[in-house]
Amino acid sequence: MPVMGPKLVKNFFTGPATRAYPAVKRPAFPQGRGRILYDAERCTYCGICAGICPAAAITMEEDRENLAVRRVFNSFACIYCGRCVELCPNGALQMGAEHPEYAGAKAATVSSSRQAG
Amino acid sequence: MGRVTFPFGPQHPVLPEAIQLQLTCEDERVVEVLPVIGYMHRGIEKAGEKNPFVNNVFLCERICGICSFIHALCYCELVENVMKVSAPPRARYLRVFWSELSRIHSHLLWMGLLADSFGFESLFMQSWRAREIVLDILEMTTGQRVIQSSCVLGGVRRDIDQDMAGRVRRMLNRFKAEYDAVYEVFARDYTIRQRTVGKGVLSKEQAWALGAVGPTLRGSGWPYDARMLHYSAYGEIGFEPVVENACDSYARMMVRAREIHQSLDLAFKALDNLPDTELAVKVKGFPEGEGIIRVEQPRGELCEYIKGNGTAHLERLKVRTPTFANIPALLAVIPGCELADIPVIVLSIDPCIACTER
Repeated sequence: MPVMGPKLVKNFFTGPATRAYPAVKRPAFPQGRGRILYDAERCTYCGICAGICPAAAITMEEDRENLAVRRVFNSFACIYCGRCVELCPNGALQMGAEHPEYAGAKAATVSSSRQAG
Repeated sequence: MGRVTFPFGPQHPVLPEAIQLQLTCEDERVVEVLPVIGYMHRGIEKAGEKNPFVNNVFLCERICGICSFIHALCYCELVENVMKVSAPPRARYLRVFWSELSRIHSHLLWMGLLADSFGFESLFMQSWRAREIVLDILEMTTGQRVIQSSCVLGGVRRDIDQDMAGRVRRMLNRFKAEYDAVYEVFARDYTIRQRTVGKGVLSKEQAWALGAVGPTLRGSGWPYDARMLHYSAYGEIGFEPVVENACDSYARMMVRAREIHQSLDLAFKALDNLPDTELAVKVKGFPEGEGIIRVEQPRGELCEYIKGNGTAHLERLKVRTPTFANIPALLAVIPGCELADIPVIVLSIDPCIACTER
């Protein structure tokens, strides 16, 4: 213990090393890979993201009734590697730096080429 | 004297992961030990055969949460060797930088757990507090704290520019100051010496004969480290293994403690000498033929083997992890020990069961 002593004494007089979360949150690093932001307006439903997704979190489905393509993104399966963001030719996908949603807020997002016009 | 057999694990306060040791004791002395593994098998090798080979980088990263970057590096270097592609120099230096940061945070995690195993809670917290700076650097430079996903076939995905390099240097200097205080305690504290010196002695001959690897082998006096094979940029940066000769738990701890200082030096060297080239080259075609590679993980030597058949899917992906190689050495040192020393001895090989069982 004597070797540890000075450190322990110093800790008595300094503030806590932890943050008072959730009141105080650490700002996310700009390069962080926290969320995938999808802009359906810019998406051309080319399917590149679905083809390269290592976790098969993105799937393209045929919607024969409406003659459309549906893009389904399952945020539970997503590993946030960012491959789709790198390869999207239309800039429809962006990587958000803020921390990922908690599990309760995660859901499958569906967008259809019909809605996009 | 009567014998009692009882289970140590799979859920035990000192074990971060699930492994069971069936200990047979005579009084307070352990006379026999039988390991039971298989609680954490996830079928990763088979999944590697089903996946396209490009996506296996992300799969291999998930073999282990602590040394994830080094698993990805190992797979990438192996596939690059088989496909006769060479990553650009900047990518190789960045790989060294991130591997060394992974090593630092893995060793500090282990040192915290070791302190916790004999009830030194404040040291456990100080170790993990210092480790947090390294995790912040990893998040800042790669985007994620634990699963970095920055290593890909042909190079790396993220760069460290001048501004960021300056911030990283300042953070590493802050880490060094924090770690030096922790190191002093590990090296000199009376309690730690009482709990580790002379416990779990693995003789030099035994360590070699049982195929121990990593700090377990180097703690028994063998100057062997897979980084001496000069993969990535270790050849250019230069490297000498850290060796201790006492052969006990204290020696194995000191190897790791000193390796953190060495890893810090290597990370600084990699950062200072980053060549000005592109980050990745395009990998075209499919792997054909087979290859094997050895790289140094925080726990020891990691071997990987692949066999490609010219298609997008591998015919075989085989991973041999260091803890698997260290379990025979652990079983050899336990008989004859006091029961109260078992947690420290088990931790002294730094068991990573998720790696072992994949």
